Amino acid sequence: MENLLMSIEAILQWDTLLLMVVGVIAGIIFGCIPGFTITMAVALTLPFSLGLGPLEGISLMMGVWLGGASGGLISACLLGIPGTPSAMATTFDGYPMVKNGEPGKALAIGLWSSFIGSIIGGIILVLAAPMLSTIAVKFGAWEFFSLMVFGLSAIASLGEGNLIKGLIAGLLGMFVGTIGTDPLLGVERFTFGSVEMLAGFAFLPVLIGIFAFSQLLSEAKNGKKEKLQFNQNLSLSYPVSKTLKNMLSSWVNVIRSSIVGVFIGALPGAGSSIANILSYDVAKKLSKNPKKFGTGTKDGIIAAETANNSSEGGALIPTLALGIPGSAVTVMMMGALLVHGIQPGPYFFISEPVLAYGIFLSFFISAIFMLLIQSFGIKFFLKINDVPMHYLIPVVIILCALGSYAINNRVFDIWVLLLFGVVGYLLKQSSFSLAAFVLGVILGPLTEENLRIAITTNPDLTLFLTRPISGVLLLLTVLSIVYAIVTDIRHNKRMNTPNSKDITV
Amino acid sequence: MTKDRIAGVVLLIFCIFFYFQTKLIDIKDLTEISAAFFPRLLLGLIAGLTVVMIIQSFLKKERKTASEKEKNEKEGIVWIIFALFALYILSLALLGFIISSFIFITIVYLIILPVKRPVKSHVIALSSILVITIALSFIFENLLNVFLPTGIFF
Repeated sequence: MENLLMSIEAILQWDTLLLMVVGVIAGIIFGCIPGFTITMAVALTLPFSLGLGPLEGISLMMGVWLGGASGGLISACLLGIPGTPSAMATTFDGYPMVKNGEPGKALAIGLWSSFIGSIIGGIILVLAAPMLSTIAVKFGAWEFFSLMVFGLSAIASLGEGNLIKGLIAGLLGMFVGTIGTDPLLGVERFTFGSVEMLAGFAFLPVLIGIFAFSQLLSEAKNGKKEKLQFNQNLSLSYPVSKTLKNMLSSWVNVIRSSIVGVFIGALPGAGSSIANILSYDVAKKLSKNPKKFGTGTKDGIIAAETANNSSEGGALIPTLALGIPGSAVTVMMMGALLVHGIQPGPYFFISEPVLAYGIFLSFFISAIFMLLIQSFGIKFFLKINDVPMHYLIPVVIILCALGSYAINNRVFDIWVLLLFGVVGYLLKQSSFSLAAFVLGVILGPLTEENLRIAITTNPDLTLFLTRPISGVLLLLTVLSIVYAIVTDIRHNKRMNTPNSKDITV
Repeated sequence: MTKDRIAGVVLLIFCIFFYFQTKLIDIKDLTEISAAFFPRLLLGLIAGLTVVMIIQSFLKKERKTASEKEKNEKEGIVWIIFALFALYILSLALLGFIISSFIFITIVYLIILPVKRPVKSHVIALSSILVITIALSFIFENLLNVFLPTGIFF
């Protein structure tokens, strides 16, 4: 209780609150521009948080994250193009509703769904994360090793794309993590005699290169951006009371979709981009009028938008409690924590209770800001969408460079950015999972450390299987891979169905 | 699926190259497994999976989309920007952050401009780019205490 009060005191500073407001605005802007993703937004704002304290920095990132998660709905409804992959299912009903002449209603329901989804996701996060960490405190090196193997195989098998490629991407990421000084003996590895490489590659330029730089250049190739096409004379405002009435009449859908979102979010490998589509599917199947879905029903918007926001709360559960991020965005958030010198994991809640509560609080406060800012600022965000890509892309590239430089004040890190921009671009072009790659980079050193500590403590390899938790985790690893192989075979059988568009993070 | 085969060959070369690099790692026999063990394990797994991927690429049928050719033409822009970015990093030491960034942004802006326009129409665009560049350097140097590279001028 005392810790909670201390966190409240720490977070209710005007500068921390202001940072969250700025974060939410930045997040919504990135969220609503098609081609720019939340991951990119988090990657680019991360350097700005370097000079701040841990809680301030994380509050800023949390604002960006939640803002981004809801910003996607603006272009999803008005353009019919998801602003971020996580708003894919929002287009199914949001766009038809706008075409039916109700843009205000579509945006209001989407926004309130995002808000309520965030709050429900947040509540489950607060309850579940500390509980999970009390179990994880009992883990030894064996369990941690198996957990990381499971996390990586899950992101490769449950995520989008081919299983083999996902695994290769994850292992490549881990290999990148071995460059530099060996964690146990301090031996140089693959440094090619360079002093800068002794510490390995800094996370930040790698993350920005993979998620922001490479993505930007794919956009540069696409050239033209779609313009907003809807009747500008129609009012975008919609009374709050009516919105809430609409939400109340579908309360079952709201709660169900939120829970689906949290569950999918908490699974390693599946993030908000899968949560919103799956939740939409569930809502459609369980609805009394499934035929209405796709024609502009509010239930479609509710299902998609509550799930993509609640999944963010769910995704934070394993990130904070186990130190295993499950999606591209949580990998970025984990990077943010690491940059601020915080190691998430089972001991996080014991050693840093004030910070842990602070993170929870910033989640809720950001959700409230998101609701307010998007309610009043919708016109401004629509204007932002009109800024042409040929202005945005070069400026954002320079921001990438600045962000990479800022971490150590050295030009070497901008070269790292370029290297991983190229690597990310090539991986993306040949459809390797970028999320798996980056998770590998972050988990690689920890995996190696735990493996070597385990074997040094006791050379008996069967311990990985006979220690119960470790054994179960390895079994889950095998199951997730088998699951991926089975679905892959089924998918291949259905290969003839054309144009199943890939959603990449 | 030829893409997969190319990727496979590149990955195998990568594995072989770094396998020989692991031989340069100083192995002290202090612990059960040496510093070279984990990288070698990873390289082995990557190589194994790559072989599976290459075999898969022969088993799956090739699907080609009509837009593929058009995409390849635009592919060039990406590599030009990568090359320009490398030049930009090199120029930082000589020209400093503000001048290099301004030149880089301007060139990229002109490259990705979808429709070519008369020179006059670019004046506002270019001056706003200059303002943005200076504003960014101001934010980083004064608010975030990041000292940006200076060149021979300032």
